[in-house]
Amino acid sequence: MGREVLMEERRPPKGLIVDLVTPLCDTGGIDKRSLNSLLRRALPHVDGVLLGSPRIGEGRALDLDCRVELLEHAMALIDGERAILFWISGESSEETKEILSALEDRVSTCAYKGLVFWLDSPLCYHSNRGLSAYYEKITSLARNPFVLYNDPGLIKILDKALKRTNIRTNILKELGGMEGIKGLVFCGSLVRANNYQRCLRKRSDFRLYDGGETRFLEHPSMSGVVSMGANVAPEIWGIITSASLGMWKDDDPSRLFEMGTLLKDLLRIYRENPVGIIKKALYDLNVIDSPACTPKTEPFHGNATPLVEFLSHHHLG
Amino acid sequence: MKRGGRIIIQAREVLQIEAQGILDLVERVGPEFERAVEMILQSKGRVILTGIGKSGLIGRKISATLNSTGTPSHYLHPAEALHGDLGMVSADDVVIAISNSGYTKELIQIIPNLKDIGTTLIAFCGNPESPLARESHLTIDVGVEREACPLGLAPTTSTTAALAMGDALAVVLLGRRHFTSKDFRRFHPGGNLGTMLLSKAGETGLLSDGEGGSDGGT
Repeated sequence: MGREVLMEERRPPKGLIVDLVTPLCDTGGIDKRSLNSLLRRALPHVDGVLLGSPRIGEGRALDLDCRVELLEHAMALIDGERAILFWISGESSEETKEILSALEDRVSTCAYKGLVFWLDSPLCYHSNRGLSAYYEKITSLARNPFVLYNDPGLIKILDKALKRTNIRTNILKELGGMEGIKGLVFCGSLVRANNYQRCLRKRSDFRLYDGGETRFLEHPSMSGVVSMGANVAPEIWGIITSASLGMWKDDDPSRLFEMGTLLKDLLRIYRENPVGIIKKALYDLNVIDSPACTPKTEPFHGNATPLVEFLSHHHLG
Repeated sequence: MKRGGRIIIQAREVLQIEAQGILDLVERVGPEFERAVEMILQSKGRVILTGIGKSGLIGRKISATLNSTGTPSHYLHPAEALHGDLGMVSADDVVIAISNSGYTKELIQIIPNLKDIGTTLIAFCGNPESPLARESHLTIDVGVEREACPLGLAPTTSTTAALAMGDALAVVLLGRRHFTSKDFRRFHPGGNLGTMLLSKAGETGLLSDGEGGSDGGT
């Protein structure tokens, strides 16, 4: 009974979720000082923090110890100030359960009082068939609720013979009926976004975040956005998200228009290799101590000067 | 891509988003809506629509629809309300306040005065946790999942949703009041529809007494 009440109370935040880069030491472990620096910069402007995501958070290349370390440091630094979304998916259902179990244990050990949501990309390791039964089980094992992550682009880059790259709409309808699942980060077509929205209509407390920054800047979801760009320009992303959600009143709409254009320009600079370019820029700006990435991350041999110059020019650095 | 192609794609996207916003309301029409209808039917006064900006314009349109379908109504500008127009509100009235965020400063400011007058307050609001929703006797959820216009520059889907909900309210009230073509003629003598109704009174099957209906615009 007590657990049910806990689940009901835990609702993911509306607004801006920063998809945080994972700061690594040159030796490979989590760089706590840089993590602190990144969070202090972002927290005043965001509503939630996504850690260890499969793309910019390099989550697919972080081993279990590294993931646990990242969560532990983040909980200590965030201290309940903002919601944490943590990516838990592994290569298989078994590995995902193992990761979940280790992370749940760490949340309990730390007696963490803040909001923690497990972000899971089920199609990375599970087909649509049997997904509802799988989530019935996995959510019953967890004390913290889930947010799903549907990203067809991610599934395509995995070296797996997967038939489908999206959660089927009728399956999502079943998943949306589960108390332990509180939201979805969505990347994909607008038609599918509308279909998903339709199947989740009965769940008024369900969050449907835009996983694509461009989509949010054109037709914003009222749940909010998961943003990579907020690593480098958290304040402007915060303002634009609030404005898009009708929570920001500015006397000069042209200023908002300029800021929106600026974010689109920013996106163009880093979209070729977000991890490499953003980490290098943050390193050049002395926000993180090393631009190190995991060995599995696409190498970045260029320089981040255009991004740094852009940030400096617009006084965002 | 050709410029024309992008224009058409973008326009279709906007229409899809707004249509979806209205469709999402279908599941949310429930007991609160029924209570709002009963509150209005039982009130001896008028239905007063209030809101500011685009929501104000939607309020004016809903008020016009209510008037032409048998529910006496008028619009109250929240800023003018604080400068004397509250005098047009009585305890017998039902006020419908429209605000997607539920934080509209001008609306929040008049709530204590409305309470003091003793009027019934219904919110058309997209945020059930907002001050407007909390302070209202009843909240009709008109929240939308996606706006069509970027950066919050102009409300689009949310105002469309509020307008559609207002139409739903007016049409349901029309049916419950047993509004007749005779009533409609009385309120709507102008325009093509009025002319047609006047010339074909008693002959046309467009609006049969006791069945009610709404026009297609004049």
